[in-house]
Amino acid sequence: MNEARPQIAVHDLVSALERFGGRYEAIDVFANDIVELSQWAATRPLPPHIQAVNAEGTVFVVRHGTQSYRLEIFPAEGVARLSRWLGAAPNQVSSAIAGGALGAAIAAALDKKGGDGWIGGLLLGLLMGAAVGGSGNASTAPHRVFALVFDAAAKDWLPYDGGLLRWMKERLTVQPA
Amino acid sequence: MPRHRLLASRSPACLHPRPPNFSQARSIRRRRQKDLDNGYEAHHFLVLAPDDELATRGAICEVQIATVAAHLFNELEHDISYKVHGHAVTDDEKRFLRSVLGSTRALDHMVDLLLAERARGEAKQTRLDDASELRVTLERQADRPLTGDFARLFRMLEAILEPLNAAALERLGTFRDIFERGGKLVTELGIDVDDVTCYALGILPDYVDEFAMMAGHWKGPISPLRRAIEQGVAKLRAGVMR
Repeated sequence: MNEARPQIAVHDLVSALERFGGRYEAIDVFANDIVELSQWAATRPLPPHIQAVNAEGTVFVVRHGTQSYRLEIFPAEGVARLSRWLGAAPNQVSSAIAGGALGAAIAAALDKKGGDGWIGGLLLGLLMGAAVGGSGNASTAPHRVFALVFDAAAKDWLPYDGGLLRWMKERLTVQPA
Repeated sequence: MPRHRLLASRSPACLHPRPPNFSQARSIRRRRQKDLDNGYEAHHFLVLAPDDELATRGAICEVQIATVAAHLFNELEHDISYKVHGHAVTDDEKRFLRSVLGSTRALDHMVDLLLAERARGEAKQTRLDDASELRVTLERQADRPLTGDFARLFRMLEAILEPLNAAALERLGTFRDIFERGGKLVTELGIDVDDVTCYALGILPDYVDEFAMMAGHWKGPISPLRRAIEQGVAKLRAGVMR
């Protein structure tokens, strides 16, 4: 399979998350679209601003200026989620990190996309917010989201209301454990 | 027949150590049995037993189906009045039996209302698949026909709500409140708009940045909806600045 080159850097996720202040809690993207994770999967070292927090290699702390963020990958869903790190970010990180979870996440993401080219190289992201109306069962209540597409040439996020809207929402939504 | 009406049943005509699989049975006659004199009420089915059981193959059985509440009354009435066990039925017993009948029918009615409400609640959780479903949902809330670009509104709402369903729309606010809020902004802007635009302006205060970003990237000629959103965004942002 001729895999499309990943083009979303982790700091692009930060810029999308912070674009609306504290309005959204996280941004979800397909795991294989993130440059740093794909490079790490290709056995290159992680850059210094991304450090693994657990030995399973599913949670990372991302340092961006004075802020810390949590980057979590969901191997079964093929999704990577960036959110603000609540509380003090850990200093101790794992030294031996398994890469299996990331490999599984990338494979799941490619599977969801139906192979390279199925979504025409679109780099999609879904900002995730709180429950609409602020009450009710948080897991089943409708949530505030905002669909985005990354313009790799302009290095900017644009709103997305195209034909894959329903598709992307269903595939980028990770059910809470 | 509502599901709860299937809770009590008996099939006196089929006596077999292993009950036949009635999910495979064919209903050959159905009638509602209602005795106005004694209050008995049930649905009686004549069913042809399935072919997979040699012992019951070709058997025709009567299955009586009643609600749990009706079954309670039917059993009491059967034991007290129908077979006249022990002593003749007294006037007080008849009066109490009529009260039980009234109570069981009231219970059935309440269960019907409860299940109907549950069905409405479940329907609200169903995703809206396209602009026409959004239109039907909003027109039901508005209780009148609505005008405007529902295809565009559908894409706007699909981009900001997960899932997009009637429950999500209700959580944005009542149609009346949203429409009044939009109408107020329309008046302040001094523009003439259709219903969809008025609705979009009604939820604009909660989605200023998102709608501004969306409208700014719509391709093609500037539509009245886009113009209204851009004017509304400018107005709301100017209000915040002051």
